[in-house]
Amino acid sequence: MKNLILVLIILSITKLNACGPYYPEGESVRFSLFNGFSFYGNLYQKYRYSQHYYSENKLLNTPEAYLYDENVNLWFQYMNGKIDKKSIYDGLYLSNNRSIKKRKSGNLFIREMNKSENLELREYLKFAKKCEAYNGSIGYEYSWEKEEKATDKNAIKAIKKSLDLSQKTNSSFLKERYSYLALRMSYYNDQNWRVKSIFENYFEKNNITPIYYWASHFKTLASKNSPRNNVDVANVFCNSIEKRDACTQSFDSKIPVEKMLYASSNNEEKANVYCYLTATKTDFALENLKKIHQLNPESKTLLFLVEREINKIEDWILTPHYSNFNNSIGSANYYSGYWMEEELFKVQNERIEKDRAYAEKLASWMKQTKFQSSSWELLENYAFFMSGKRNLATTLNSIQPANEEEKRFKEMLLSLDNVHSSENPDLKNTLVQETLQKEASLNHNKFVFAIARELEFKKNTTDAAYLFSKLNNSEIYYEDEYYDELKDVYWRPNGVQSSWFLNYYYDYFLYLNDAYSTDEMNDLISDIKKPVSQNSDFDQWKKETLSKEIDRLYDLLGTKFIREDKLNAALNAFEKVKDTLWKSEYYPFKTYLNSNPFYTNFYLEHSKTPMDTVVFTKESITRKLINLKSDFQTSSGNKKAYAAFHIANCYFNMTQYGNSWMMRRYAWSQNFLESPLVDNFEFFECRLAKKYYLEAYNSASSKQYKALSLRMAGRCEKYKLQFDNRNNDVEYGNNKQFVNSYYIKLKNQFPEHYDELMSNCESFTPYYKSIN
Amino acid sequence: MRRILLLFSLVVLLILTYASIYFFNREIKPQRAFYYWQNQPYFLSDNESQTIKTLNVNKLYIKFFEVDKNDIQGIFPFAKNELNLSRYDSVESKIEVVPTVYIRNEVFKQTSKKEIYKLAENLLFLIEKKFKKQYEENPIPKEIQMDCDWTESTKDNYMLFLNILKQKMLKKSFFKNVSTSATLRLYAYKFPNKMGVLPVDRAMLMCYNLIPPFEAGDRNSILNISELNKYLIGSDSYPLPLDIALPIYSSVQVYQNNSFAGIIYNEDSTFFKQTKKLNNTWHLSKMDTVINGIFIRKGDKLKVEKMNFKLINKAIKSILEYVELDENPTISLFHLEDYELTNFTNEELDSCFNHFKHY
Repeated sequence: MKNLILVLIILSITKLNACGPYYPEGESVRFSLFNGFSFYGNLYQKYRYSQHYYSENKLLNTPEAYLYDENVNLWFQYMNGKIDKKSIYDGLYLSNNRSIKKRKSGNLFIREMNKSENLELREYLKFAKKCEAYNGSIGYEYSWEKEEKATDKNAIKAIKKSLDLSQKTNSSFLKERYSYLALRMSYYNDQNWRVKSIFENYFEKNNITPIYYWASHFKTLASKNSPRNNVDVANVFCNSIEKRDACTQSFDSKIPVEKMLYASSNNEEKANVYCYLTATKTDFALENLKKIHQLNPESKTLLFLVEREINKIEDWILTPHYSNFNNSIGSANYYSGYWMEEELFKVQNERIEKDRAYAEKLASWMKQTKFQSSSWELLENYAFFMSGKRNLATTLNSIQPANEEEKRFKEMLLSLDNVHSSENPDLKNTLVQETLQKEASLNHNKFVFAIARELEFKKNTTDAAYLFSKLNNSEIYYEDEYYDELKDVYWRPNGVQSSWFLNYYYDYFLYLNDAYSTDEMNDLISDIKKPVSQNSDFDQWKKETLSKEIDRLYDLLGTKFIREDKLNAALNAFEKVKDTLWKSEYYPFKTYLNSNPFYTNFYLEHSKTPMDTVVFTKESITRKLINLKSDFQTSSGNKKAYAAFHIANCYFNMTQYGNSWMMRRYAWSQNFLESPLVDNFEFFECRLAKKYYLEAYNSASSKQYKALSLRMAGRCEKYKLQFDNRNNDVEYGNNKQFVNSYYIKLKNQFPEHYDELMSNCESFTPYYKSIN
Repeated sequence: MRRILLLFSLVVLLILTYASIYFFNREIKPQRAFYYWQNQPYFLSDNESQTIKTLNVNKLYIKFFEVDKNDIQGIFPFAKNELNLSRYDSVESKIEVVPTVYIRNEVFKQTSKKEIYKLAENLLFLIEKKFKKQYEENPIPKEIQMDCDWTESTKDNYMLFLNILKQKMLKKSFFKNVSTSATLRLYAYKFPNKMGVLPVDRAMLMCYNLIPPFEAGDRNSILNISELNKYLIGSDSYPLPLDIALPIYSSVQVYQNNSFAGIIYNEDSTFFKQTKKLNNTWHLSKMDTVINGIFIRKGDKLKVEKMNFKLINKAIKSILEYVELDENPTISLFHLEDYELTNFTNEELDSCFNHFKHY
């Protein structure tokens, strides 16, 4: 380590943002196995539970937006399914008044419109396209008001013509559409009286269709805020895919629910009011769900709202349970520090218990309601799983999934339950194996992570490590700007801190570095080395990543032994690391272990020293340290002092302040980067170095060498004192808390050397050579 | 000769003393003002109205509207203010209204010269129209103010816009005698070489919102004295006469899932009974509750950023020490709103203005 700058090393590829450190938040940390049953969920896209709350999420699981377009579906039905939806979509929205007349158009829908029996339809489409000019989407409140809000005369003509055409046509399909065109133009042209009139005279007197709700939406916009208007909005919300989002602008949230219920005509409308309120409710909504079901057991919105509630519970329970991020709590971060973490962990556990109890209530209610749907049953089981109160295998097996999506979700639940409910879980179950491979291939990292954590919780750390190594390996994030952020997984340390400053994990290596013991590492390495059966695809898949990383794992094992000061065990591990790792361009050992760990002086801790003529590896450093220790044990006098002094140098250099900190750490910062690692205090307080400098002091016969050893022990003490006072707002100096007993001893015992050693940075060498 | 020299020295000393008093402790006459940033109410509340009278406030910077840009609508106004002072026949209708327009920085990104001309034209049209409609009893404005968080990349377009605006004002009878002012963030104040010098008559130095809220940690992001001093100390005097804007508002930021989840203004006084105070800045929610649609859970961190008289006084002290002001600067408090006023007594607000008298 040659430069005294903030250095961060991550041996594996970890997400770093070009504009600064990336810290996962929001959707990136929200835990979700269940992504909504896509068809139903897409109809309520903006109301899915998300950290983005009410946001423009792209349609999940299906890029074909036209499948959900209500207008397209109405035309599709009217044409008895003769024309495919994509052609209808393109014909309706991508054509103009010229292209719509092309009899030989490449678009099937337009060709159909140009058949003699359909010319009335074609004329309607042409007229509707003309009317678009009068449907201003900007609105007066967003205008520069250069023209007074006056009615466009041409628009009035178009409204009247539309009403006229509605009267004349014999087609009920077109009657309704012409009436709607007239009503919509009336709204955009400040003819609110006409909106109400058309609605009352046409739509209220005919059957309720999807277009009825489109018209109702404009009627709510044209009406004053009132409880009844809110009920109409709720009706549109529950019944119109097309106007589900737009209708919310005329809802007055200040009106109390009681008044809306009073203004409702029947239970279905009352249920719709609750549906509307529940779709944006951010807290517990079970009581609303119960009311909706009581008022309208057939409510089409209820299943979606239950999906939404399940997503909430996932976030509240599983996010903290698996990832240690809390959906709300984990806000101590890079910026605000970690000073309140321990207290928050306590609150987090209390909250999980409360939320598990809520999940059980939700699941029990779902069970009671006996909603006839396999989706419902699967979600009910998932809620039970999250409550922690029941194993699922029996009930889940009896559910017949209605489609592939449900089948996939059922397999995930069964796999998770299998591992969760076993006392000694492993990965031998075929379904678990198949599901893991399938989900990993789909970059469903959160599922793989959940299984890994379940294994780890039950002490199967070896299989857990295999799965950790499978996480976040996809290359597609950098290519696909719409990469679903829910697919990545991040997790926080099991305790308060990690060993690197951003305090979260994104890949297996840094996690193993912090969380795995040497025994667990040994078990893992032994298992990797076991021959893999050629017949077992799963085992080959499982070990694929880590078997290629064996050198790094041995390095990690050796490093862990160094932290425990078990030098022979460390050497044993380092010896198994191929030389290529130390010399690799990819890993930074060459940069950060290229100086002499057995030499240090007063001031050149991280700078170039005259002794940096040799290059070490972790293996050679450890071997030399063992040899020095042996010399120390077997010698006496100045020889013993010499060995002790160099052992101390090495221990010193392996701390925060030395040139070989990589012997103990994979990340370094100029700040105190405290960690859960066993040698946290050694790393910052130089305890072993001080011990051996004092041994050198005791053994040396040279006064100069004794003085030098005290000087070095004093420097270790200085770092200890600084570390002790790291949270106090005091500078190192003459304060009480910084009284350095070794410097006092140096002054008392060797007054003739004190000033020289304490103030002259050039004085080190003659003292150092005094026993050579 | 000695006597003459002595007399001469005494005269010089007197002159120097007078000059030092004049230059270093001269009395200035600050104009008292408030920003009014609300959209909805048609009228001032009784409390707001009373505050204006009690404090002898003679100027209101009223946000007339905001301006944004998107692909569909182009550059458009929104959040138009509906306040109407015409119904008043006393102090409020005599007060000087400064039409103020907040323009989002996006407006000046990839915008053509033609669009900028059109923006200036439209903006003046709408200001005049709204003024005549909502403030017909008030005196004709002497000043209009543009508010924009411009950046280095939008600097050229923003400066061009201000120049065009001034040119156009000269050609319109309503604006002929109206001066222009613009808000000035501290960064732009400190680095005029990078950020450009505003081509307006006066600049309003905004002494708040100093730190991005998510980066502020324990510090108050609305007003932090050491952060303020970083900008003020050592800055060259700005080449325009300066007015000063100071914050009197508070907010509560809710942090969930390691990220900012929402902001609560006007929190209910009972709200803090549900929180545990961790230090001067951070509170911890003690229960699950919903405020303004945000589900605040037990254990959520809440960053409470309150303004108080002591803090504002420190800011004023720094401003007086390091910022060059002319004799008649406007001191404007952000912003006039019932809830924010409850955090201060009238005497405290009065002092905020009074402290500027002795420069």
